Amino acid sequence: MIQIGLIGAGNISQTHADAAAQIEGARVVAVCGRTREHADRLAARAGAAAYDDLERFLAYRPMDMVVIGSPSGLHAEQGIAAARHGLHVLTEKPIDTSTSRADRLIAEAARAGVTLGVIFQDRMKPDIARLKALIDAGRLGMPILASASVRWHRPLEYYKGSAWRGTQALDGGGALMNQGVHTVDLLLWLFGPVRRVFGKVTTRLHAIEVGHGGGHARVRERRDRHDRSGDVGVPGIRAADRAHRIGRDREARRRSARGDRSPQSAER
Amino acid sequence: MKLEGDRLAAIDLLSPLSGDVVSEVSAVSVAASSPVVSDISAHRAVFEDFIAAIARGVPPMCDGAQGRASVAVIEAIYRSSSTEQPVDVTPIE
Repeated sequence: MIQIGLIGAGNISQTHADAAAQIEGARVVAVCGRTREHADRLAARAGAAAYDDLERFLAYRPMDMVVIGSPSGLHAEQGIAAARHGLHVLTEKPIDTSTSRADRLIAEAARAGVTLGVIFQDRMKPDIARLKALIDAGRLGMPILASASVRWHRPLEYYKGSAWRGTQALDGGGALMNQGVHTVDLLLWLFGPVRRVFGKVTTRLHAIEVGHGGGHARVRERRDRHDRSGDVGVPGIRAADRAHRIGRDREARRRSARGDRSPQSAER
Repeated sequence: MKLEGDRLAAIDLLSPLSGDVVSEVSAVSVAASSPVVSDISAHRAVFEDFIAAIARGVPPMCDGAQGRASVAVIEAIYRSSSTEQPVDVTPIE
């Protein structure tokens, strides 16, 4: 029997509890959440012990491994603490919000002799798994170009509903780091390492922090006439839609100011 | 696979194959378009892989170095965006 401890008691940790419950030979024995009420609720559901103190939680035995579902910027710190208690560490993506923190976690897991893993569940999806097998078997020849886009929208409530999402300190950025990382992982896993990148990142829809180099920037949605969806690194589809609509509305207003009726202006 | 002469025209990745090792994972890769994971089968598959990796003493499906790689690319994208210059991705190891 593998005894699992859950670090985090929010949205994704409920998924972790439910997934573990389906595995014969595994069970959730302890839950640690900074919000005591959430930890209590999830622990009750899983039939596990609840903690709001990480060190006390890590001392719980029997426990073999932890699954980390806390804010991204805490993954390495908590993973290191777990490794020092001899626990195997499976963390949600991203591994943390910076490579320097990732390096510390990797080094500590190696030193402690525990297994370290990162959850990228999309690798397990049947279509992706089949594509991986075809590429690895050479059945597609040598891939020369891979292109991906992520059209997942997160409404403002998603960011407002938690203290950490969209913050530089704990999310390490916004949609690119939290959602786009799934697709970056798939591109690397399927097609191999990247030598050099050119990126253009901006924050369009929500007043969240954006991750530019060393500083914090707070940028509100821009409504100027040069608002182009093509510049958005990882836009929600509604972001692209919206940019398109804004442009179209302006065009419609210009047309109607000229007394011009067109299918475009009639449409809205 | 659909071939046109010697050209590969299309591949159907979505229709289940018999003997598909992951056929029990029901969702295709659009599941994460919602922040709430409604289908937990892919998470379960990650857990099972990790538990098997512990037992066999081998790296899991995504180990620390691979987990680091995507963060390295995203760091470089942010840096490139602020400097408006291409950025080399720090090599692993």
